[in-house]
Amino acid sequence: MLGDPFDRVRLKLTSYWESSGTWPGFIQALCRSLSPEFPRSDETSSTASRSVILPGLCCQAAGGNPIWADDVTAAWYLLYIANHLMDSVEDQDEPDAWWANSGPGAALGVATGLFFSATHVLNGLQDSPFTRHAAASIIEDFSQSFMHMAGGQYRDLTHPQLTLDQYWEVSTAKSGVFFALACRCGARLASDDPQLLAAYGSFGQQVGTLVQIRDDLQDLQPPQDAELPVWGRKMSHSLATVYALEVLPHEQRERLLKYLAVVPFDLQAVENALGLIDQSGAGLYFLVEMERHRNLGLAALERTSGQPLAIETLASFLNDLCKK
Amino acid sequence: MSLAQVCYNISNDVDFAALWRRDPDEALAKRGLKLSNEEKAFLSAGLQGGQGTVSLKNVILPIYAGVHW
Repeated sequence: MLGDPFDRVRLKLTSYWESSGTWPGFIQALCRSLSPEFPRSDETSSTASRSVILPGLCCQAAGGNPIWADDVTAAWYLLYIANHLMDSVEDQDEPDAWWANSGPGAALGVATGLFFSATHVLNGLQDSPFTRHAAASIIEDFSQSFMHMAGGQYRDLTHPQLTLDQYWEVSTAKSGVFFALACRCGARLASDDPQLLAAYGSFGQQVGTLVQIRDDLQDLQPPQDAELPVWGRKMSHSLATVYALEVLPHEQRERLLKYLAVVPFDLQAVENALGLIDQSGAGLYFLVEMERHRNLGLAALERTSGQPLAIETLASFLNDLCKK
Repeated sequence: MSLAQVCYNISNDVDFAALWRRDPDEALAKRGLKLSNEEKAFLSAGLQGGQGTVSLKNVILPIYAGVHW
């Protein structure tokens, strides 16, 4: 990567918010929604922060200059945080510190601001001579991808229990599509070859699926007391549970369902449910799926025949997701 | 579903697991299951990663769930 894209993105966003004439208190809330998670690539940052390297790296791998991808990166990151906020409110998660006092309504207000900011940033693609050629297709890609993601989230929220096939469909729609978007749009700035773009999209999809699998593991960990009431649904929809319900014989499956029904409020049921999930071979299945998606991602990278240094960095990013 | 079913059988069926170690194709054929060559390779890699015993509760969760991703 050339230079530091993070400072450029930060400058661009704060400048836009200040010039928009909106209430200064709202700008502060927007800034706080991004901080301290504001993109950094170091080892201590979260997936969101580290993932902002993806559009620039894919642009570079496809033969472009990573700086061209700054606007795509900024828009993608804004939408990442906005989606995180929406999910947190929908799932009644423990709030982030900055909106703990102001409440979920204020959080949704900030998410709305982030969505519109992302739209503004994307429209800016038409103004630069380096991005103008791809602006229309990238904006359309963002729009279509977000319709898929919204559908995936809706399906997840409205299905009491997913089958294993449905789990993978929802996981692809929610997380896979989003990371595919980052990689495909980064590459799109340097190429309009459909096969190449499909390969970068496929790589991103595997990254997103691995992120989802790892997030699901967190959902098997008992949370803070305040989140207990909503934890049962999360645990029921996590990969390990969905897998166990698919493969366990009828009698054990019924027992697991019985435990899951009382999981948030009965610690013994939590232990019993985790025990049954463990016995089902969920640990092995987890490792196999991690390996499968890592290999699919590496195979997709190979199909790009991209710039070696950028491809190597992308492969490292993928491998790190599977690292113990 | 086959991949999931094979993971279940390896973890719960001693005879299947023993046959799988000797001859994966015969183990699959006996249960009427099918896996692609890639899936068989992923499964072998998964088994090596867990060194034969892969407890979600005692191995996977402590390793992965505490990691900040």
